[in-house]
Amino acid sequence: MGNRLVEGKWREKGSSSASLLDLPNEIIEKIFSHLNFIDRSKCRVNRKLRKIESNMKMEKESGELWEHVQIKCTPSSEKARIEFVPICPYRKELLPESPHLCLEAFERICNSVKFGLLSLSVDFTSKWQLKMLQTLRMATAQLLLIKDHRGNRDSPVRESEHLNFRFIRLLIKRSEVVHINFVCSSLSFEQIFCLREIIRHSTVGRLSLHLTEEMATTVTDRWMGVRYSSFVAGSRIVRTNRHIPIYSRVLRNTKEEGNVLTLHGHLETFVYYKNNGFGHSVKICMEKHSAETLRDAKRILHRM
Amino acid sequence: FLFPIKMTSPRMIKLTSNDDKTFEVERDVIKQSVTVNTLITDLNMDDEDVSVENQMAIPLPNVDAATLEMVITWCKQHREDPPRNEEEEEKKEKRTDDIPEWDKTFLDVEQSVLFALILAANYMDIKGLLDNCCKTVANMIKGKTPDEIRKHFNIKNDFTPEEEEQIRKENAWCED
Repeated sequence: MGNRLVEGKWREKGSSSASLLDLPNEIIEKIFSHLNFIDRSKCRVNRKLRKIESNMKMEKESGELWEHVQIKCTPSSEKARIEFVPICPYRKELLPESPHLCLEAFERICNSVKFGLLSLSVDFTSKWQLKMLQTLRMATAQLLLIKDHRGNRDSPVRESEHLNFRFIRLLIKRSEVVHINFVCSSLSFEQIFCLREIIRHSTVGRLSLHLTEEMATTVTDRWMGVRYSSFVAGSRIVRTNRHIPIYSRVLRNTKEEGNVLTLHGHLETFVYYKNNGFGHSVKICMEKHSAETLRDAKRILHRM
Repeated sequence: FLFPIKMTSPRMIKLTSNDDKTFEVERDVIKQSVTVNTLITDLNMDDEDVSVENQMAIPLPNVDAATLEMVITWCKQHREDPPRNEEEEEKKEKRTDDIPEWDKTFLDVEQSVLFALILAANYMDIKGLLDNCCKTVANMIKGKTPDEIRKHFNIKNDFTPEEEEQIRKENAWCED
Protein backbone atom coordinates (compact mmCIF):
# COMPACT_ATOMS: atom_id res chain seq x y z
CA MET A 1 0.00 0.00 0.00
CA GLY A 2 2.96 2.21 0.71
CA ASN A 3 3.82 2.20 -3.00
CA ARG A 4 0.58 3.89 -3.85
CA LEU A 5 1.57 6.63 -1.52
CA VAL A 6 4.95 7.12 -3.11
CA GLU A 7 3.21 7.35 -6.47
CA GLY A 8 1.62 10.45 -5.04
CA LYS A 9 -1.93 9.19 -5.18
CA TRP A 10 -2.90 11.42 -2.31
CA ARG A 11 -0.16 13.92 -2.54
CA GLU A 12 -2.22 16.41 -4.44
CA LYS A 13 -5.56 14.89 -3.85
CA GLY A 14 -8.46 16.21 -1.88
CA SER A 15 -10.87 19.03 -2.37
CA SER A 16 -10.25 20.15 1.19
CA SER A 17 -8.43 23.38 1.80
CA ALA A 18 -8.05 22.87 5.54
CA SER A 19 -5.26 24.78 7.21
CA LEU A 20 -3.66 24.65 10.61
CA LEU A 21 -5.96 27.38 11.88
CA ASP A 22 -9.05 25.36 10.89
CA LEU A 23 -8.18 22.68 13.41
CA PRO A 24 -10.10 22.70 16.67
CA ASN A 25 -8.21 24.23 19.60
CA GLU A 26 -7.81 20.90 21.37
CA ILE A 27 -6.09 19.43 18.32
CA ILE A 28 -3.72 22.38 18.10
CA GLU A 29 -3.01 21.88 21.81
CA LYS A 30 -2.30 18.25 21.08
CA ILE A 31 0.17 19.24 18.37
CA PHE A 32 1.81 21.77 20.70
CA SER A 33 2.07 19.17 23.43
CA HIS A 34 4.63 17.38 21.26
CA LEU A 35 6.85 20.47 21.19
CA ASN A 36 9.31 21.60 23.80
CA PHE A 37 8.86 24.92 25.49
CA ILE A 38 11.13 26.81 23.11
CA ASP A 39 9.46 25.55 19.93
CA ARG A 40 6.06 26.10 21.46
CA SER A 41 6.91 29.67 22.36
CA LYS A 42 7.76 30.33 18.73
CA CYS A 43 4.34 29.09 17.64
CA ARG A 44 2.73 32.26 18.88
CA VAL A 45 2.57 33.60 15.37
CA ASN A 46 -0.94 35.00 15.47
CA ARG A 47 -3.60 35.79 18.07
CA LYS A 48 -5.38 32.45 17.94
CA LEU A 49 -2.23 30.37 18.34
CA ARG A 50 -0.93 32.71 21.02
CA LYS A 51 -4.09 32.31 23.05
CA ILE A 52 -4.05 28.53 22.72
CA GLU A 53 -0.39 28.34 23.70
CA SER A 54 -0.81 30.65 26.66
CA ASN A 55 -3.72 28.65 28.05
CA MET A 56 -1.93 25.35 27.84
CA LYS A 57 -1.12 23.65 31.10
CA MET A 58 1.67 21.24 31.65
CA GLU A 59 0.85 17.60 31.87
CA LYS A 60 2.73 16.78 35.02
CA GLU A 61 3.76 13.28 34.05
CA SER A 62 5.04 14.10 30.62
CA GLY A 63 6.18 17.67 31.16
CA GLU A 64 9.59 18.67 29.99
CA LEU A 65 12.18 18.50 32.75
CA TRP A 66 14.73 21.22 33.28
CA GLU A 67 17.12 19.43 35.52
CA HIS A 68 19.14 22.27 36.87
CA VAL A 69 17.72 25.70 36.90
CA GLN A 70 19.00 28.73 38.63
CA ILE A 71 16.70 31.67 38.83
CA LYS A 72 18.17 34.93 39.92
CA CYS A 73 16.05 37.99 40.32
CA THR A 74 17.40 41.46 40.85
CA PRO A 75 16.74 42.80 44.31
CA SER A 76 14.49 45.45 42.93
CA SER A 77 10.81 45.94 42.43
CA GLU A 78 11.32 48.30 39.55
CA LYS A 79 12.99 46.12 37.04
CA ALA A 80 12.54 42.45 36.48
CA ARG A 81 15.56 40.38 35.80
CA ILE A 82 15.34 36.64 35.90
CA GLU A 83 18.23 34.58 34.71
CA PHE A 84 18.17 30.99 33.67
CA VAL A 85 21.78 29.98 33.87
CA PRO A 86 23.36 27.58 31.39
CA ILE A 87 22.93 24.50 33.51
CA CYS A 88 19.43 24.22 32.15
CA PRO A 89 19.09 23.07 28.53
CA TYR A 90 19.19 26.64 27.30
CA ARG A 91 21.93 29.15 27.47
CA LYS A 92 21.95 31.96 29.94
CA GLU A 93 19.17 34.26 29.02
CA LEU A 94 17.03 36.82 30.63
CA LEU A 95 13.32 37.09 30.76
CA PRO A 96 11.77 40.37 29.69
CA GLU A 97 12.64 43.27 31.91
CA SER A 98 9.19 44.57 32.63
CA PRO A 99 7.81 42.80 35.71
CA HIS A 100 4.47 42.28 33.97
CA LEU A 101 6.01 40.58 30.95
CA CYS A 102 8.46 38.76 33.11
CA LEU A 103 5.70 37.28 35.24
CA GLU A 104 3.76 36.26 32.17
CA ALA A 105 6.77 34.52 30.71
CA PHE A 106 7.58 32.92 34.03
CA GLU A 107 4.05 31.62 34.34
CA ARG A 108 4.28 30.10 30.90
CA ILE A 109 7.51 28.37 31.84
CA CYS A 110 6.01 27.03 35.05
CA ASN A 111 3.08 25.68 33.06
CA SER A 112 5.34 23.86 30.67
CA VAL A 113 8.30 22.46 32.49
CA LYS A 114 9.17 20.67 35.65
CA PHE A 115 12.15 21.86 37.59
CA GLY A 116 14.65 19.38 38.84
CA LEU A 117 17.13 21.21 40.98
CA LEU A 118 15.90 24.70 41.27
CA SER A 119 18.01 27.39 42.76
CA LEU A 120 15.98 30.44 43.45
CA SER A 121 17.33 33.76 44.42
CA VAL A 122 14.72 36.41 44.95
CA ASP A 123 13.97 39.56 46.78
CA PHE A 124 11.21 38.63 49.16
CA THR A 125 10.17 42.21 49.60
CA SER A 126 9.39 42.75 45.97
CA LYS A 127 5.74 42.33 45.14
CA TRP A 128 6.23 40.93 41.68
CA GLN A 129 8.79 38.47 42.90
CA LEU A 130 6.42 37.23 45.58
CA LYS A 131 3.83 36.80 42.87
CA MET A 132 6.41 34.83 40.97
CA LEU A 133 6.82 32.55 43.94
CA GLN A 134 3.11 31.91 43.93
CA THR A 135 3.41 30.79 40.34
CA LEU A 136 6.43 28.73 41.15
CA ARG A 137 4.56 26.99 43.90
CA MET A 138 2.38 25.45 41.24
CA ALA A 139 5.34 24.03 39.36
CA THR A 140 6.81 20.79 40.53
CA ALA A 141 10.03 21.69 42.23
CA GLN A 142 11.59 18.47 43.34
CA LEU A 143 14.55 20.14 44.90
CA LEU A 144 14.74 23.68 45.87
CA LEU A 145 17.30 26.13 46.98
CA ILE A 146 16.04 29.38 48.32
CA LYS A 147 18.23 32.36 48.69
CA ASP A 148 17.06 35.64 49.93
CA HIS A 149 18.74 38.02 47.60
CA ARG A 150 18.69 40.90 49.99
CA GLY A 151 22.19 40.42 51.27
CA ASN A 152 22.55 43.77 52.92
CA ARG A 153 23.03 43.02 56.57
CA ASP A 154 22.22 46.54 57.60
CA SER A 155 18.80 46.56 56.07
CA PRO A 156 16.13 46.39 58.71
CA VAL A 157 13.78 43.48 58.96
CA ARG A 158 10.69 44.51 57.16
CA GLU A 159 7.19 43.92 58.27
CA SER A 160 6.39 41.91 55.23
CA GLU A 161 8.95 39.34 56.16
CA HIS A 162 6.58 37.08 58.01
CA LEU A 163 4.81 36.82 54.67
CA ASN A 164 8.04 35.63 53.12
CA PHE A 165 8.19 32.83 55.58
CA ARG A 166 4.67 31.85 54.76
CA PHE A 167 5.67 31.64 51.14
CA ILE A 168 8.73 29.64 51.95
CA ARG A 169 6.64 27.26 53.98
CA LEU A 170 4.20 26.84 51.15
CA LEU A 171 7.02 26.20 48.73
CA ILE A 172 8.71 23.78 51.02
CA LYS A 173 5.56 21.79 51.55
CA ARG A 174 5.66 20.94 47.88
CA SER A 175 9.35 20.37 47.60
CA GLU A 176 12.29 18.54 48.92
CA VAL A 177 14.58 21.24 50.12
CA VAL A 178 18.28 20.90 49.68
CA HIS A 179 19.49 24.17 50.86
CA ILE A 180 18.11 27.28 52.40
CA ASN A 181 20.45 30.16 52.40
CA PHE A 182 18.64 32.90 54.16
CA VAL A 183 20.62 36.05 54.40
CA CYS A 184 19.14 38.57 56.76
CA SER A 185 20.39 40.92 59.39
CA SER A 186 18.23 39.55 62.13
CA LEU A 187 15.41 37.17 62.72
CA SER A 188 12.42 37.73 64.90
CA PHE A 189 11.42 35.00 67.32
CA GLU A 190 8.42 34.30 65.18
CA GLN A 191 10.74 33.72 62.27
CA ILE A 192 13.00 31.51 64.31
CA PHE A 193 10.07 29.31 65.24
CA CYS A 194 8.93 29.36 61.70
CA LEU A 195 12.34 28.25 60.48
CA ARG A 196 12.43 25.55 63.10
CA GLU A 197 9.09 24.34 61.91
CA ILE A 198 10.32 24.31 58.33
CA ILE A 199 13.36 22.32 59.33
CA ARG A 200 11.36 19.86 61.36
CA HIS A 201 8.88 19.18 58.64
CA SER A 202 11.09 19.18 55.60
CA THR A 203 14.14 17.44 54.35
CA VAL A 204 16.55 20.30 54.61
CA GLY A 205 20.04 19.49 53.50
CA ARG A 206 21.76 22.67 54.41
CA LEU A 207 20.80 25.79 56.14
CA SER A 208 22.89 28.89 56.24
CA LEU A 209 21.96 31.85 58.28
CA HIS A 210 23.66 35.12 58.36
CA LEU A 211 22.84 36.67 61.66
CA THR A 212 23.97 39.16 64.22
CA GLU A 213 25.94 37.77 67.09
CA GLU A 214 23.08 38.29 69.48
CA MET A 215 20.66 36.49 67.27
CA ALA A 216 23.14 33.73 66.59
CA THR A 217 23.42 33.15 70.31
CA THR A 218 19.67 32.93 70.57
CA VAL A 219 19.43 30.58 67.66
CA THR A 220 22.19 28.46 69.07
CA ASP A 221 20.53 28.44 72.46
CA ARG A 222 17.30 27.29 71.01
CA TRP A 223 18.51 24.91 68.38
CA MET A 224 21.96 23.86 69.22
CA GLY A 225 22.26 24.68 72.86
CA VAL A 226 21.27 22.87 76.00
CA ARG A 227 17.59 23.30 75.52
CA TYR A 228 17.65 21.96 72.01
CA SER A 229 20.75 19.94 71.89
CA SER A 230 20.10 18.62 68.45
CA PHE A 231 19.89 20.33 65.15
CA VAL A 232 18.39 18.67 62.19
CA ALA A 233 20.48 18.92 59.08
CA GLY A 234 19.38 16.70 56.30
CA SER A 235 18.23 13.46 57.77
CA ARG A 236 20.91 13.45 60.41
CA ILE A 237 20.91 14.89 63.83
CA VAL A 238 24.00 16.73 64.75
CA ARG A 239 24.75 17.26 68.37
CA THR A 240 26.73 20.21 69.35
CA ASN A 241 27.56 22.43 72.27
CA ARG A 242 26.52 25.95 72.80
CA HIS A 243 27.61 29.52 72.54
CA ILE A 244 30.24 31.30 70.64
CA PRO A 245 33.36 29.59 71.94
CA ILE A 246 31.82 26.43 70.65
CA TYR A 247 31.35 27.79 67.16
CA SER A 248 35.02 27.83 66.55
CA ARG A 249 35.28 24.41 68.14
CA VAL A 250 32.64 23.18 65.74
CA LEU A 251 34.53 24.82 62.95
CA ARG A 252 37.76 23.21 64.01
CA ASN A 253 36.20 19.85 64.63
CA THR A 254 34.09 19.66 61.57
CA LYS A 255 35.62 16.42 60.50
CA GLU A 256 34.73 14.78 63.74
CA GLU A 257 31.37 16.37 64.05
CA GLY A 258 30.18 15.40 60.62
CA ASN A 259 27.80 17.60 58.75
CA VAL A 260 27.12 20.71 60.66
CA LEU A 261 25.57 24.01 60.26
CA THR A 262 28.32 26.24 61.47
CA LEU A 263 27.73 29.64 62.84
CA HIS A 264 30.92 31.40 63.49
CA GLY A 265 31.94 34.38 65.52
CA HIS A 266 30.06 37.39 64.43
CA LEU A 267 28.66 35.30 61.73
CA GLU A 268 30.07 37.36 58.99
CA THR A 269 31.37 33.95 58.16
CA PHE A 270 29.08 31.12 57.59
CA VAL A 271 29.95 27.71 56.45
CA TYR A 272 27.68 25.09 55.08
CA TYR A 273 28.44 21.62 54.75
CA LYS A 274 29.67 18.37 53.59
CA ASN A 275 28.31 14.86 53.79
CA ASN A 276 24.82 16.03 54.29
CA GLY A 277 23.29 13.16 52.42
CA PHE A 278 23.12 15.14 49.21
CA GLY A 279 26.77 15.00 48.25
CA HIS A 280 30.10 16.17 49.45
CA SER A 281 30.12 19.76 48.43
CA VAL A 282 31.81 22.23 50.65
CA LYS A 283 31.49 25.90 50.40
CA ILE A 284 32.79 28.54 52.68
CA CYS A 285 31.46 32.02 52.36
CA MET A 286 33.18 34.86 54.04
CA GLU A 287 32.17 38.41 53.88
CA LYS A 288 34.21 39.68 56.76
CA HIS A 289 36.63 37.59 58.68
CA SER A 290 39.41 37.63 61.15
CA ALA A 291 42.77 36.03 60.50
CA GLU A 292 41.77 33.25 62.84
CA THR A 293 38.52 32.38 61.13
CA LEU A 294 40.21 32.46 57.76
CA ARG A 295 42.86 30.10 59.04
CA ASP A 296 40.18 27.79 60.44
CA ALA A 297 38.30 27.84 57.19
CA LYS A 298 41.41 27.08 55.18
CA ARG A 299 42.25 24.23 57.50
CA ILE A 300 38.81 22.74 57.09
CA LEU A 301 38.95 23.04 53.36
CA HIS A 302 42.36 21.47 53.35
CA ARG A 303 41.15 18.56 55.48
CA MET A 304 38.28 17.91 53.15
CA PHE B 1 -15.86 -38.36 3.55
CA LEU B 2 -16.06 -34.95 2.19
CA PHE B 3 -17.75 -32.34 4.32
CA PRO B 4 -19.05 -29.19 2.78
CA ILE B 5 -16.95 -26.31 4.08
CA LYS B 6 -18.87 -23.19 4.81
CA MET B 7 -16.80 -20.20 3.75
CA THR B 8 -17.51 -17.25 5.96
CA SER B 9 -16.58 -14.01 4.34
CA PRO B 10 -15.57 -11.16 6.65
CA ARG B 11 -18.39 -8.97 7.77
CA MET B 12 -18.48 -5.75 5.77
CA ILE B 13 -19.65 -2.30 6.80
CA LYS B 14 -20.73 0.46 4.45
CA LEU B 15 -19.58 4.03 5.03
CA THR B 16 -20.77 7.04 3.07
CA SER B 17 -18.71 10.21 2.69
CA ASN B 18 -20.16 13.72 2.62
CA ASP B 19 -19.90 13.71 -1.17
CA ASP B 20 -22.07 10.59 -1.36
CA LYS B 21 -19.44 8.01 -2.14
CA THR B 22 -19.92 4.68 -0.42
CA PHE B 23 -17.09 2.49 0.74
CA GLU B 24 -17.27 -1.09 1.91
CA VAL B 25 -14.87 -1.90 4.65
CA GLU B 26 -14.28 -4.93 6.81
CA ARG B 27 -15.83 -4.72 10.25
CA ASP B 28 -12.52 -5.76 11.74
CA VAL B 29 -10.71 -2.90 10.02
CA ILE B 30 -13.07 -0.09 10.94
CA LYS B 31 -13.23 -1.08 14.59
CA GLN B 32 -10.30 1.31 15.09
CA SER B 33 -12.74 4.16 14.67
CA VAL B 34 -14.40 4.58 18.05
CA THR B 35 -17.17 6.67 16.49
CA VAL B 36 -18.07 4.06 13.87
CA ASN B 37 -17.59 1.20 16.29
CA THR B 38 -19.96 2.74 18.82
CA LEU B 39 -22.53 3.38 16.13
CA ILE B 40 -22.39 -0.22 14.93
CA THR B 41 -22.78 -1.50 18.47
CA ASP B 42 -25.55 0.93 19.38
CA LEU B 43 -27.51 0.10 16.27
CA ASN B 44 -27.01 -3.64 16.84
CA MET B 45 -25.61 -3.90 13.35
CA ASP B 46 -23.38 -6.76 14.39
CA ASP B 47 -26.42 -8.92 15.14
CA GLU B 48 -28.24 -8.27 11.94
CA ASP B 49 -28.08 -11.03 9.45
CA VAL B 50 -28.32 -8.86 6.40
CA SER B 51 -26.18 -8.92 3.34
CA VAL B 52 -23.93 -5.98 2.69
CA GLU B 53 -26.10 -5.01 -0.28
CA ASN B 54 -29.11 -4.48 1.97
CA GLN B 55 -27.18 -2.96 4.79
CA MET B 56 -27.66 0.62 5.87
CA ALA B 57 -24.63 2.75 5.13
CA ILE B 58 -23.18 4.78 7.99
CA PRO B 59 -23.05 8.40 6.94
CA LEU B 60 -19.92 10.39 7.77
CA PRO B 61 -21.02 13.95 7.02
CA ASN B 62 -17.70 15.48 8.08
CA VAL B 63 -15.45 13.40 5.85
CA ASP B 64 -15.02 13.64 2.10
CA ALA B 65 -14.42 10.62 -0.11
CA ALA B 66 -10.72 11.21 -0.72
CA THR B 67 -10.03 11.57 2.99
CA LEU B 68 -12.22 8.61 3.90
CA GLU B 69 -10.31 6.47 1.44
CA MET B 70 -7.10 7.47 3.16
CA VAL B 71 -8.56 6.73 6.57
CA ILE B 72 -9.63 3.28 5.44
CA THR B 73 -6.19 2.63 3.98
CA TRP B 74 -4.57 3.61 7.28
CA CYS B 75 -6.98 1.40 9.23
CA LYS B 76 -6.22 -1.57 6.96
CA GLN B 77 -2.50 -1.10 7.51
CA HIS B 78 -2.95 -0.92 11.27
CA ARG B 79 -5.62 -3.60 11.73
CA GLU B 80 -3.18 -5.85 13.59
CA ASP B 81 -2.05 -3.13 16.00
CA PRO B 82 -2.55 -3.98 19.67
CA PRO B 83 -5.31 -1.97 21.33
CA ARG B 84 -4.11 1.34 22.75
CA ASN B 85 -4.09 2.00 26.44
CA GLU B 86 -4.91 5.68 26.51
CA GLU B 87 -3.80 6.15 30.11
CA GLU B 88 -0.40 4.70 29.29
CA GLU B 89 -0.19 6.79 26.13
CA GLU B 90 -0.86 9.94 28.12
CA LYS B 91 1.92 9.16 30.55
CA LYS B 92 4.42 8.43 27.81
CA GLU B 93 7.12 10.88 27.00
CA LYS B 94 5.95 13.12 24.19
CA ARG B 95 8.14 11.96 21.34
CA THR B 96 7.79 12.70 17.68
CA ASP B 97 10.57 10.49 16.37
CA ASP B 98 8.61 7.30 16.80
CA ILE B 99 6.28 7.57 13.81
CA PRO B 100 6.41 4.24 11.92
CA GLU B 101 8.11 4.42 8.52
CA TRP B 102 4.93 3.41 6.69
CA ASP B 103 3.02 6.23 8.37
CA LYS B 104 5.76 8.72 7.59
CA THR B 105 5.43 7.95 3.88
CA PHE B 106 1.66 7.83 4.13
CA LEU B 107 1.48 11.22 5.79
CA ASP B 108 3.93 12.85 3.40
CA VAL B 109 1.11 14.69 1.66
CA GLU B 110 0.01 18.23 1.01
CA GLN B 111 -0.78 20.19 4.13
CA SER B 112 -4.47 20.54 3.27
CA VAL B 113 -4.72 16.76 2.91
CA LEU B 114 -2.94 16.22 6.20
CA PHE B 115 -5.22 18.63 8.04
CA ALA B 116 -8.32 17.06 6.45
CA LEU B 117 -7.02 13.73 7.67
CA ILE B 118 -6.55 15.15 11.18
CA LEU B 119 -10.13 16.44 11.17
CA ALA B 120 -11.41 13.08 9.96
CA ALA B 121 -9.34 11.13 12.50
CA ASN B 122 -10.66 13.42 15.21
CA TYR B 123 -14.27 13.06 14.06
CA MET B 124 -14.01 9.31 13.62
CA ASP B 125 -12.01 9.06 16.84
CA ILE B 126 -9.06 7.08 15.52
CA LYS B 127 -6.45 7.82 18.16
CA GLY B 128 -3.44 6.19 16.49
CA LEU B 129 -3.95 8.07 13.24
CA LEU B 130 -4.65 11.35 15.01
CA ASP B 131 -1.53 10.94 17.11
CA ASN B 132 0.76 10.29 14.18
CA CYS B 133 -0.76 13.18 12.21
CA CYS B 134 -0.20 15.55 15.15
CA LYS B 135 3.37 14.36 15.52
CA THR B 136 3.93 14.97 11.80
CA VAL B 137 2.69 18.56 12.15
CA ALA B 138 4.82 19.02 15.30
CA ASN B 139 7.85 17.86 13.31
CA MET B 140 7.07 20.50 10.69
CA ILE B 141 7.14 23.17 13.40
CA LYS B 142 10.27 22.06 15.23
CA GLY B 143 13.31 24.26 14.80
CA LYS B 144 11.48 26.91 12.78
CA THR B 145 11.45 30.62 13.59
CA PRO B 146 8.06 32.35 13.97
CA ASP B 147 8.41 33.82 10.48
CA GLU B 148 9.23 30.44 9.01
CA ILE B 149 6.19 28.96 10.78
CA ARG B 150 3.97 31.68 9.32
CA LYS B 151 5.35 31.05 5.87
CA HIS B 152 5.13 27.28 6.10
CA PHE B 153 1.52 27.23 7.28
CA ASN B 154 0.46 30.37 5.45
CA ILE B 155 -0.61 32.13 8.64
CA LYS B 156 -1.33 35.82 8.59
CA ASN B 157 0.27 37.89 11.30
CA ASP B 158 -2.65 39.68 12.94
CA PHE B 159 -0.72 41.18 15.85
CA THR B 160 -0.54 44.88 16.46
CA PRO B 161 3.05 46.21 16.39
CA GLU B 162 2.90 46.44 20.21
CA GLU B 163 1.77 42.85 20.60
CA GLU B 164 4.43 41.68 18.21
CA GLU B 165 7.09 43.58 20.08
CA GLN B 166 5.95 42.02 23.34
CA ILE B 167 6.16 38.50 21.92
CA ARG B 168 9.50 39.25 20.35
CA LYS B 169 10.81 40.29 23.76
CA GLU B 170 9.31 37.24 25.41
CA ASN B 171 10.87 34.98 22.83
CA ALA B 172 14.22 36.74 22.81
CA TRP B 173 15.52 34.76 25.74
CA CYS B 174 14.88 31.40 24.12
CA GLU B 175 16.42 32.14 20.75
CA ASP B 176 19.69 30.57 19.72
